[in-house]
Amino acid sequence: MLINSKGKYAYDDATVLGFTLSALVWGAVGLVIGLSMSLQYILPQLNLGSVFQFGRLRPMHTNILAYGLGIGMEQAVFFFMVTRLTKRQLFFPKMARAQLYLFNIIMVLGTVTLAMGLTQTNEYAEFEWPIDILVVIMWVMFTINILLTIIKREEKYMYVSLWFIMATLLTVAMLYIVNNLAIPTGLFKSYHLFAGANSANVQWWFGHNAVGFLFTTPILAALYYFLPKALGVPIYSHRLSIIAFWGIIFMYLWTGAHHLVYTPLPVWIQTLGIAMSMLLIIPSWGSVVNIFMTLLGQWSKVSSHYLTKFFLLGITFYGLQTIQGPTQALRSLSQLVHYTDYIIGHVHMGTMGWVTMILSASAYYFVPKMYGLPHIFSIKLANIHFWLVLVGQLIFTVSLWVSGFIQGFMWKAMNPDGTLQYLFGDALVATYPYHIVSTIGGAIYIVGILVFVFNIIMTIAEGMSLKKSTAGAK
Amino acid sequence: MRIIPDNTYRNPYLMTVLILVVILVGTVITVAAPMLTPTINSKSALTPTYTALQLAGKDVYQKEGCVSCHTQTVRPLQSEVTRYVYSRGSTTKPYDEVVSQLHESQYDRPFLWGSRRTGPDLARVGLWYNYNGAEDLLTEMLTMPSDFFPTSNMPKYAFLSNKKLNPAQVRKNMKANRFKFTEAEITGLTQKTEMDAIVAYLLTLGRTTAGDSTQ
Repeated sequence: MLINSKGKYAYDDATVLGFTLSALVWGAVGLVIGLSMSLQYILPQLNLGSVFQFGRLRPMHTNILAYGLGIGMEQAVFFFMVTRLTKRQLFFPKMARAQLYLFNIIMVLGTVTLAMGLTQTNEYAEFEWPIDILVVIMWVMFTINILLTIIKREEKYMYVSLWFIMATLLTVAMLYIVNNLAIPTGLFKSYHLFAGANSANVQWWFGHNAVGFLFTTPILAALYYFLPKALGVPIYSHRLSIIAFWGIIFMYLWTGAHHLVYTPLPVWIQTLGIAMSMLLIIPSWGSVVNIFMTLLGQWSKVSSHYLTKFFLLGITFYGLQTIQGPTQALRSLSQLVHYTDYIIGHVHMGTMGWVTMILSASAYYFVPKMYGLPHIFSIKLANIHFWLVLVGQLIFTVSLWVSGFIQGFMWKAMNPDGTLQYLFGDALVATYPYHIVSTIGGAIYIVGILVFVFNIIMTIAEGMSLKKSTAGAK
Repeated sequence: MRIIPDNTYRNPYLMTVLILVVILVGTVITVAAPMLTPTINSKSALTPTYTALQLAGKDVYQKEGCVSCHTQTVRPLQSEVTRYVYSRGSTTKPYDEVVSQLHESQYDRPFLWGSRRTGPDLARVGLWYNYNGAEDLLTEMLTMPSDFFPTSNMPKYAFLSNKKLNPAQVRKNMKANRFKFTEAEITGLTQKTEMDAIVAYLLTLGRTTAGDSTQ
């Protein structure tokens, strides 16, 4: 079963493909919602009825993109990498298929209930408790399948990507279960088990590590695998990988309180969170330096291999993100930019510049590979996709950083007599022009993603016709 | 020399255990341990539990995602106490008493401090409108925000006035939160709308800040 007629390992890739296509569909839905919200910010008359309202769309946008697109793609990438790195089929291939259906059921239920206003309110943990139970079942299936496959592997070594995958599975399980502990009072209503400051502390421990273990460790796993595979160069330093790995998973868990600077949360927890956020630069940049050193001396590949620039820009934005994040945690900067557009800009550099950049490059590598195609349907379109998402993302994030600074300074500006220089509304109106610009940037980014989706679908079509013709030849 | 021997990386069982230990250190110190300290858990009589109508209003606040655009934390910054407290209401309390306090959210499951200010902070609404008849003004503001600030981008929440509350569900919710209530309170809800409820909830915010210094 494992060995095909040519003496090579054969894998069941249909599940990987299913996750990839599901993720692309959810990604398109989430991005369109994001664009709608961006337009509602400048044209409030676009809030319609009781459902198509900014307050309802916001959790739909974040959950659909984080879980539908992010986790959707990560499941595809994990299953692909784990089977290759262990040189065997998944331990439970049918359970992986069941996981694919469950994942889509969860996303449909989650989207519909959030639209109805059924929410636990905690950011990225909005799904109500019955959906949480389904999520936990899905995650346990995922974790058991991957861990057993790794335990029963046919390859002696466990490559660094496998460590990151294991850490992701275990940590997300812990975070998700603890922060979703709730007291149900109906099928779709519950109250957080924790109250007040404890609720805040648990939520941001969860919230910040959702970023760490959904948007960092899985993406690093993909980067450490697909970059050397695509470019044919080994990772520069094994030791740096080790430092980056243990450093990231140790320090991330301390930093949630930097989301709660200047709140009533006990000050020592805030200070500890800020200090550990600064220290987090070290392991983050361990990966950045490692990848840059890997690419050193390979610069000609930027023009000769189209995926190089995806990896290069992806890791560059990761590097910027992991400097910007910790500096925002500092009290002096937090008091200026917290609660402003600046933070929205920061988050979107990570998701639009780092996460989707690496995940789309991974898909460009593994989708043709699954069909034995030499490369993607169109390299030219992939290049167009790259430039559109890069330019779109930069316009989006930079405009919001500027807007956030203006907003922050206007909130703080005081006259010598101790009165405020601006009304709250003045600062809001000052952000409108920048939101017009960021909406345009977001639209350009979405066009780029649609080009990517088209390219992947055409590659699949090409692969399927190739499969048919070779089957016919036999 | 090496802290973790190389063959560790070939042992998935050992790696699982090590990963769990490593992620638990920060978790225990910054999340679990504080839960056991008195400071973070202290309850104050200054902030009472919610009435049935107020709790129903807090649920509407959550359902409509108000927290997407409004915070509930007055930070200890000069501009912030000026903007949200001293320039808006009648209080002679000092700076450190008017910034947000731990006890103000002691009955909130979950906390509603928020992470984003598209609209202003709401932690002191009950101080700003601390007078009889304030309900009508807040209802008008939620119904047609642009009447009060023409270039506001806040959605209109007129539809809340057409939505009746579900008293049976509110009773369950009050019990789950272990708040004291009377049956008369619950039956009184049959005549109330989601608009009445959210207004009643908003007026609880920052009430304790009004008046003179407690010291």
